[in-house]
Amino acid sequence: MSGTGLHSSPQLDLRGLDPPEPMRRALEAVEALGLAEAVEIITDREPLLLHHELARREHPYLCEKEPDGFRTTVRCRGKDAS
Amino acid sequence: MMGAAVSRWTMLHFGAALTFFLLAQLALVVGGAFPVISLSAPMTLAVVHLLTIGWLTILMLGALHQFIPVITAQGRVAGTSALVSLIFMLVGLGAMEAGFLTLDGRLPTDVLTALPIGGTLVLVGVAIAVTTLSQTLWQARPLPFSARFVAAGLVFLVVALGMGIVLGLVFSVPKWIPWTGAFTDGLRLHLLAGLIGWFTLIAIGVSYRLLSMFTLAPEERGPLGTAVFILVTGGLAVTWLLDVAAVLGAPVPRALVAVAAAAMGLGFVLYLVDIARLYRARRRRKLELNTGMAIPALAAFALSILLAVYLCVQGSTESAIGALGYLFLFGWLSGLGLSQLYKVVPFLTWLERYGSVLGKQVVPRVQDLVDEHRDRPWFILYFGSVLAGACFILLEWRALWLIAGLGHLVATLMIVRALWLVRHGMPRHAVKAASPFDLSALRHPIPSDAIITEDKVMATTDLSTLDVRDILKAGGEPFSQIMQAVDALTPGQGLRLLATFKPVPLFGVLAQRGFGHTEREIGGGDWEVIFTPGQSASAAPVVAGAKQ
Repeated sequence: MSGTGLHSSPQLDLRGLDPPEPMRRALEAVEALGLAEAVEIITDREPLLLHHELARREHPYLCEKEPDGFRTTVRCRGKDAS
Repeated sequence: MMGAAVSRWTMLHFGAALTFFLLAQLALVVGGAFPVISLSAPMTLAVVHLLTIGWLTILMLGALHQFIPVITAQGRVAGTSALVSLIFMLVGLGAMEAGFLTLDGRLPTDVLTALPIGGTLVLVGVAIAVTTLSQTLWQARPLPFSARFVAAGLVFLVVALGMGIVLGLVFSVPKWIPWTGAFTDGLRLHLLAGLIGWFTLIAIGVSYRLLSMFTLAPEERGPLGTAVFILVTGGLAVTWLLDVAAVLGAPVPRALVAVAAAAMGLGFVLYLVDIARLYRARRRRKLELNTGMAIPALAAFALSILLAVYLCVQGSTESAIGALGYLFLFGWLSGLGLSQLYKVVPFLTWLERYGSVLGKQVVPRVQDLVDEHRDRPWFILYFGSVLAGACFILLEWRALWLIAGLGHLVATLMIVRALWLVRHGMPRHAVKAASPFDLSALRHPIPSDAIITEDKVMATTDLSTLDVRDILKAGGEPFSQIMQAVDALTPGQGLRLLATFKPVPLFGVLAQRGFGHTEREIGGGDWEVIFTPGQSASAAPVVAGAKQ
């Protein structure tokens, strides 16, 4: 993984938003990130519809359950190719 | 795990279900069924099965094809099996309706066996759906709270249909099964499994999930929720089994049946108490039409419970049972179904239509697919007519009942029209939403002082400039640099960004960090965007950026 290394993952806290707003904002951020390292998305519920869309777009992601929500870490697709 | 997709055949189920709902109401109003004639008349049975199989069962199975993969976090949604299941149910229901018309003498008696054959086809269709859904549930053990009600409901669906087929055989070929108690005992067991076991358990499970999701209330229901589940499913199962034993001739003490039935009733009351608690604990203060209009449906459920208790104590009349069934089917189950469709249909349509372009282009909001202001009166008319209709049935004012019936038929027609427009009309703010400024304004309107006019740009003397055109031309990715530059801004300082395209997605990201923007094309396809710190930071959810 290349990148500047100076900038760690931005974190997007989408708790407390009514569906499907968290999904819209998460994907907006993911697309905006382009080839940045990663973005962490925090949601109240396990964002299954988001995961489906991330998988479809071939963005690797990892979802972990946290005490008060779910943390989905999304990396960018095609990073190694660039 | 791949997350959950949109179920392909759910909308077709909804369309078929709503068509049957309208047909059933039309049949009621045009006449030939209860309350105009007796509860056990074949025409009443014809209408009741249009309602229970055509409308409610197809509605609920369609919803579960989407709902179960989502609540159980199992990725796969039903494929072609959902369509095959629907076709079996449609053909089977058609045959059943022919069977009822035969019983009524409106069709020649050589189609008499249509009733059990139709029932069997419906059962095959349902069995296909239940098999698919159970597999998903099985893989998701231990089941989440709301899925437990759904699993129990599916069991009762199969039981109710099995009982229904037995009844159909008794009616059409009595010499095979000479059961004199079919009209009383058989019907009671069929209704208990179908109306309470299948419909109400599904309604409870699905409502727990949808109402907590759309009012932003806690989904974990704690000990009260567990009590609801145990009392409702346990009470119902014991009541049903004891009743079967009694019908088969076993010496079952009546008091024992009464205790089991009372436990079930207590479970329903606790459910309503818990839902009231859920509404109070919600974080979304303003109710949308779907969560707002679930309240009269829940009230109809509460009224049904009161009426049922009253009938148990005071003894029942045909008109009182009719009023109870009407309130339960139209007020509670259909009312909840219609109100939730008003959210579920736009939500799924939105996902289907815009899911793959989210973040890549500006899309309308879910709520732009409907017009709550336009449709609210129709929901009020619907519930008002149902309540009035139940009273008229109770009082046996049949002429007035027809007006009430017409009222909820028209209301349903208008709600169906609204749902049709969700699928086939234009989103209300489609044109407006195409402007990049609306990207962030869609949900959190940017205060007027955050929208930058030329004056404000001039007034913002302190700008840091970042030119990322060379990076972009070299095929590089400037996002990290942009975010670093944003982090490095001093309080009050703005950022002047030069790029080779209009970086629309960035507007949303920076709006969440409290930056307004203005952009202009500066020739050669290049763009200059000026981000200035605005007031929207506190209104937007926190974006904790890079470590600073």
